[in-house]
Amino acid sequence: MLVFAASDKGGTGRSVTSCNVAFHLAQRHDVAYLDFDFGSPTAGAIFDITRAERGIEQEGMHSYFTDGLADPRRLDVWTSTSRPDLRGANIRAGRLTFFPGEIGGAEFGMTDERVDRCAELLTQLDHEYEVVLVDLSAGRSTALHMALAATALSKMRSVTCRWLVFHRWTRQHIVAAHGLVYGKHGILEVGKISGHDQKDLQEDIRFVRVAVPLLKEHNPAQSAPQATWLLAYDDELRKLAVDRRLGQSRVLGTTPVEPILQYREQLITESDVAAKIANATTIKGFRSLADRLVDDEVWEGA
Amino acid sequence: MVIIGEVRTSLLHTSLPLPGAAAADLLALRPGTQVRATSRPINRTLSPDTVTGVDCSLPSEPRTRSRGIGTVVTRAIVVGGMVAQASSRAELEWTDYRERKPWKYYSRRPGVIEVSGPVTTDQVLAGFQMPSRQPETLDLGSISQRMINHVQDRPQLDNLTALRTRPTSMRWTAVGVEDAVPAVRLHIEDATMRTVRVTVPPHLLEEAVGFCEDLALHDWLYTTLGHVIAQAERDMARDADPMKGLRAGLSLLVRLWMPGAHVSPELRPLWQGLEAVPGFSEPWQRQVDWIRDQVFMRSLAAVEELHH
Ligand SMILES: Nc1ncnc2c1ncn2[C@@H]1O[C@H](COP(=O)(O)OP(=O)(O)OP(=O)(O)O)[C@@H](O)[C@H]1O
Ligand SMILES: [Mg+2]
Repeated sequence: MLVFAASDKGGTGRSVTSCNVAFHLAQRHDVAYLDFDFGSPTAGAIFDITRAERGIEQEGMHSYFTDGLADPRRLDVWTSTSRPDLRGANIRAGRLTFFPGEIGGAEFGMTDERVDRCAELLTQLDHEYEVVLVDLSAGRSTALHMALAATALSKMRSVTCRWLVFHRWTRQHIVAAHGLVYGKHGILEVGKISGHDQKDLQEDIRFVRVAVPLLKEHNPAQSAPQATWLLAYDDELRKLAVDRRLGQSRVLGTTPVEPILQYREQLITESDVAAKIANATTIKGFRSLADRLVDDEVWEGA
Repeated sequence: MVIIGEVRTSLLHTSLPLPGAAAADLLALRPGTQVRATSRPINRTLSPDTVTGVDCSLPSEPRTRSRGIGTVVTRAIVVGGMVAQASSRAELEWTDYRERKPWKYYSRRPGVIEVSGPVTTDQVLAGFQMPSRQPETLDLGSISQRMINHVQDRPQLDNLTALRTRPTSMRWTAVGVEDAVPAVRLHIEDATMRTVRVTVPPHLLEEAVGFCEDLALHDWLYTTLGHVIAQAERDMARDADPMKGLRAGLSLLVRLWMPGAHVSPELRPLWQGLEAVPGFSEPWQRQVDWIRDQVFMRSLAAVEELHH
């Protein structure tokens, strides 16, 4: 299964959430994580892989597309991470393979040849990994266009593809996420031009609400007027989301605001929760995203 | 005399094994070219050789200056309609001249690379045996990978898979030594990379190619069945159903196991050595038995449940 992670705005939590979801999926499957954020590859830092914090020097995803490199570099997260609690976490975990981007890399243009290479890589990895997660970078990027074009090729018809659109729980983010999917030059429009069936494509898209603030019952320190305002405004956002076709039936899941992640981009593990540094609800959010991502029932008709 | 090569092995992107004729069709990479096929004891189809021109330095250990000009030949192989291999090789010939001759000269000698510079045979052999490839040197792996991608992209395949598997690479060197008793050394570098060194009398050097392809196939089968078991254990540990993977492993892989079947009789003793150390067919059979037991016991349990 191929999973594409997109967002309209930068800094929504697309990479951090995707990495955490990949981490949970890898407890039971072989998972590949591809950094297609060619301009600023940062997933290495989230996995705490020191030598790939901002990408690697050469032979990364970038060279695969621009230099005709045949074997882009793969890093095994379990053995490359500097976090000991990841390594020993689960003796029966599947593989978690990270395909890093490149430090000096920049965005590049889309060509038919690159689309073919993209399809080739995705097909190859789909036959190797249960789940292949691709971080597409923010906005209407080359990566997004390339992924849409590659998955529209007839030889990729048989491959299961799922698209995730990440957004924060604010008015502007909801409007922006709507635009990325339904708007001009959005995923559906570009998808259709690339050769996708628009209706099928739409059924393969789900939204992920990131860092949704806690309401009164979770946050007793709130003043009464504050709580009332938040509750009312939360309701308003819900209405807006439904109105913009980002309603509950199209949502894969939600993550709460996690204090650790406000300070540091990283994986949240059971040991962080056991040490009472991270909130249990955060892990629950990631785990539920992972479970629902591979649950076919969730994806049958939105 | 030295031949170097690299074999990539992967599961063909097809839900069911290709019949012999379809495999032949798949490997007729260019119109009008002939594929070679044998059907016994198991179907094995070979594409015609493709030729790639190279002019680059060679890996060496310790690093020494060299220039290799010539051609690499690559062929694709399908075994049992299910496993795809791409196998690239070149014979190395040391020469004195420095200037590059017209390409016509090299293309008349497909599969020969002429080597110049201070580098010695032993240094090149050691370079090829390094677990990680030296950048900016001859890369047989990527030539093979391109061939695999090309084959996997052919319209004869339905692009579905019953089993997710990991491709492996085997980098090998074969040295011809007068009066040598055939010998092989296999080294497992990591999860997907293996290096092999073969020594044979010079007249058997060409046969070493087929032996290395056969070894790569069986190493891949062995490794892949190991992953099938690991995934089943992972499923069982969390109460998920392991049957799908186990069944696919049994039905797709087991019948392909036939070490030496397509190897020249003179080189079959190499297999006998590997069967002794590290052991192939015996542990393979134990894995197969384990899977059969699991499938049997689970089927039995399912039947019993039906009766209650
Ligand atoms: N649930 C959360 N709670 C609090 N902060 C979060 C949460 N999820 C992500 N963040 C933080 O949000 C910031 C942006 O996250 P991230 O880098 O994943 O975004 P992105 O969408 O990938 O950004 P870019 O477009 O720049 O690649 C990070 O500092 C991250 O730690
Ligand atoms: Mg990011």
